[in-house]
Amino acid sequence: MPSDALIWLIPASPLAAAVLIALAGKRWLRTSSHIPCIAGIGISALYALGLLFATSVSEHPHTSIAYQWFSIGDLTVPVAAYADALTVMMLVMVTCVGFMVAIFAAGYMHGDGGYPRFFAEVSLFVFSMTMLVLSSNLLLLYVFWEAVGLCSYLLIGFWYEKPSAAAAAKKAFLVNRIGDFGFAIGIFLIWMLVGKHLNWQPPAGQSLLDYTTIFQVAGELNAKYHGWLIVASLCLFAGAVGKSAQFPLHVWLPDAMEGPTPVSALIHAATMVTAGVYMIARLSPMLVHVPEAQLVVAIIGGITALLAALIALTQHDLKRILAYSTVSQLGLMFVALGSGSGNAQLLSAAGIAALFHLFAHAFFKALLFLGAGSVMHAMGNVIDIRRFGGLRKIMPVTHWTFLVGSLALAGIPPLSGFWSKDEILVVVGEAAAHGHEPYRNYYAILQNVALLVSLLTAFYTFRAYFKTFWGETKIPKEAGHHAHESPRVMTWPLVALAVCAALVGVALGPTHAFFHHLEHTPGLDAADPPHMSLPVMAMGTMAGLLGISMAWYIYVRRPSVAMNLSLQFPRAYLFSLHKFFLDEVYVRFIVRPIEGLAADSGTFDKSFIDRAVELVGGVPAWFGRGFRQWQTGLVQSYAAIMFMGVAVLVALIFFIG
Amino acid sequence: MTPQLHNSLLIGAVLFVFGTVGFLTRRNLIVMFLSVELMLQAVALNLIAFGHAYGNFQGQAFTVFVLTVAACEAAIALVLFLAIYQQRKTLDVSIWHELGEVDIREDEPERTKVAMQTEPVPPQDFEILTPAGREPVLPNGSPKTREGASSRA
Amino acid sequence: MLLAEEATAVNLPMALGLPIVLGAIGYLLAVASPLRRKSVPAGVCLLCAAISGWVFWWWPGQPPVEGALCVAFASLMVACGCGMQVEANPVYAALWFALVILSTCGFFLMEGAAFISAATIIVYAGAIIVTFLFVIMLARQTGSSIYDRRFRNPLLSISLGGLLLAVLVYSFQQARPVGAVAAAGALTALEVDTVMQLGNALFVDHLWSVEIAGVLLLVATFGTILIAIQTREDAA
Repeated sequence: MPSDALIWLIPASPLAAAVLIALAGKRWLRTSSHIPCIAGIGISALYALGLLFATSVSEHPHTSIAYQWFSIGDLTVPVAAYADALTVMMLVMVTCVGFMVAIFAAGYMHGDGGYPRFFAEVSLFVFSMTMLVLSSNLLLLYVFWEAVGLCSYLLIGFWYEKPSAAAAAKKAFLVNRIGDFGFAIGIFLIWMLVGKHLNWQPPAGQSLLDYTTIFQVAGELNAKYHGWLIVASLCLFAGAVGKSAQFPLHVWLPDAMEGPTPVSALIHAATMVTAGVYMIARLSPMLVHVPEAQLVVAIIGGITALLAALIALTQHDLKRILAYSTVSQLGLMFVALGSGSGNAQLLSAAGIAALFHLFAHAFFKALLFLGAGSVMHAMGNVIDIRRFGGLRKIMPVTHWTFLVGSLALAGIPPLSGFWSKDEILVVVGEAAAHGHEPYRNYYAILQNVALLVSLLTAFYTFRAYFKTFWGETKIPKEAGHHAHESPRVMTWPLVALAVCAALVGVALGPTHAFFHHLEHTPGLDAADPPHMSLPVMAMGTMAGLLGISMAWYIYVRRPSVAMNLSLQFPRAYLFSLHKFFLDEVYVRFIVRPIEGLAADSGTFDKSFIDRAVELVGGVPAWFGRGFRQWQTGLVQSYAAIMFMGVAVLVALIFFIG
Repeated sequence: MTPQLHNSLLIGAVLFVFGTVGFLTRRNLIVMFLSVELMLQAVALNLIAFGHAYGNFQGQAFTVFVLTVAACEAAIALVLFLAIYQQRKTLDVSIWHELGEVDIREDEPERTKVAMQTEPVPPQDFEILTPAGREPVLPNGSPKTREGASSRA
Repeated sequence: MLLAEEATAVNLPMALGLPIVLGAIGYLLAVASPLRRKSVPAGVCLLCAAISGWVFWWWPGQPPVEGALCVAFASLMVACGCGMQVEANPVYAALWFALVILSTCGFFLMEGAAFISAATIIVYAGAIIVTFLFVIMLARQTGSSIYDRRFRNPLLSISLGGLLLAVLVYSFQQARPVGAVAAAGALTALEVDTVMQLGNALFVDHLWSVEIAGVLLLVATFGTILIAIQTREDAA
């Protein structure tokens, strides 16, 4: 069914929607800009689902070239789409979640002055994200990496008159840029290694930076340049660190909550931040040769997961809690990705586990964010959980869907989070048992860290849930008459996402459907189907239940315990509340010196360079002042000069010519 | 190069240079134009000399044209000088310098700018000629009693 | 003519430059200030310049009578030219110019251009100079004004003129005319009936140019009349 060129329909329809809204939005589509956006994303979603169910693309990966972008020396870069099983999975996730978020946003953003701008930017984002997933070569990936960063900037700073929003947008973009610098270095290294040192000529129609090229030369590259391959992998991973908000570049994601809640749901939970995970999974054939780099990936993921979980324990802004939760879950995904540990079979299992968690996480995290959005909408934009409570009586649909999402996040069977987290724990355990020799201890530590993170996750998620929906009913005065259930346009996406969150795990995990779908992807094709490991499942479930019960005890039975704990361990509480002071450290040691450098450069520019330029500009003026004296306006002066010219000309012609 | 040709050319060159120098130094419009005519005369001399040297009449024919053009040019130039004179009541060419930069200093010392007058001509006594032929009879009396008839300066 | 001999490098600058320098000095003395016009040193300098010019530049290869006539007319021409340049009063300058025309016409006669000489006298001395005098009259010029007596930048002008003259004279020495130059005596046959032959040349070879010259004269007449009428209206 899907033909070669029709795959371009997936990015093209959101792009068309974006262009349409951008051109016609302000005048004609002021209150109906959501229609082109939802339609565009809907078409993409339908086609992506079609690609999913017709398995021909998944089984036979396949590139379709739109046009040759440029060609320099031995490098030709086409604009081409590479479609295999991983691509199709990502496309389905991006477009379906995007579709539901767009519908929610039509209700959430109702009455906002920038309504057309919002939907244009959301459509542009979906276009960039689908193109990122569809790119066939590293350079095109980089282009759309930046494009999604741009859309993120535009959407975080959507209410740009608010200084905190503008600052948060700038922070997101700049921190991403740091990661992208590493990413670019990685691309250059790959180009240099493959093109010049390996002297490998790609077959016709294939670029030097194509994925298929990397798949083909990875073994040879490892044999000759193992050290450089580690460096290149780590540089590429730096891009993922920036985009997926890992330590130390995680600082932008909590501040990105300044944007509208649908944006947080779409970009900073489900799709954009998963681009890093996608990239690392895509480059598995390369990473399988460098267990050192994989260890680094896992360790950074572990640090991030633990750090974010600890911070989320004490935050009182509901969206911030969810943001840190996202960071933590992404950390877990990287822990899984890094558990390949030099073994193709292990790497395939690890990659598939991480991607499964990615897929499930997208649905329930988006659900949680949209639920928070629904709460915000009802509470008059108040999101501080200390200011409202007992909302389960007022907002039943939101309450039940939020509960489903929280259970999924905490990893309670039979919801989806349970299956995916279980697989991650299994994979890390395998790495600890059968992985590369020197590193097994690290993976053992990481397995325990993952368990601890699961416990903390369940705890802070249910802390948020109980404080919001249980207890005595408290409504802040900004709510006014809004304090009721959200309209249907907002609750139906919540219900849909709740159904997905509940069923996706069961449908894809134990049935091995996910595994079978992805096993044709290059790099992920060496694994056996995952087996159920009862001890691991039991430990995971117990961690989750323990967390939930602790949260229930502290926040429902004896609310005073929370206060006592924070007083008894003040330093721990403060560190957690202030995000371990990382932002302050960055400001002190990085931002201020650079600002000083910039100021000095400005002074240098003004005093030396500007003066030099003025000097150059002054030379014609000086000449002009001299030559002015000749312009007397008198006929005879001009005649004199003419005669002088005649005399000189005669002399020249006579003596030379 | 025959001697005659050479000498004619030489004289022509000298005349041309006289004309140039006069054009560049004089300030009276009329005399400037006379220098131009002098230059044209030098050119005519050259033409005739060459015609004579080559033994044909092309030089002389061209001289006729030079003469014609000189006449036209003289006529129009002079009437333009009159028009210019109407504007500022003087034939000094250095008055007209609007095309120049506004603050170029004039090379005229201050004291002579004041004395932009004609030097007084001593009154001269010209002979009054007796009229030849019959006088016309005019409506308001004899011509000898007309007013202003005595000033013949 | 000293210059024509294969002179050494030492002689060349002197032969070219001496008459010019003397003439320049004389001219400057004559015109430098309004008071020192017609002074004796200026005249002496100019005379020396003329003589040295004759010595260095003149080619004495002509037959005696012709040569003497040439020298006479040339001297008259140079003297009147100088007089015209140095004279302050515009009316007298015009009259000097008339004398230059006369001497030029003498030259024309010697070169076999009788018609041209007559025509020049009639047109120039008869018509153009008279028109000049009329204009001087109309412009209320009674004597010489301050701007007649002060000469602008004489040094610069005489330098330019001297440079031009030097280049021209030098080029005459070196130049060879292209094409057949008739021997000195072969032209006497042509000097009979010059008017008819000139007429032939004009109306057979250059008929177009003659007609256009006529149209030019007509148009110049119209132009002059129009501008004069405009002038009179502006003045009125």
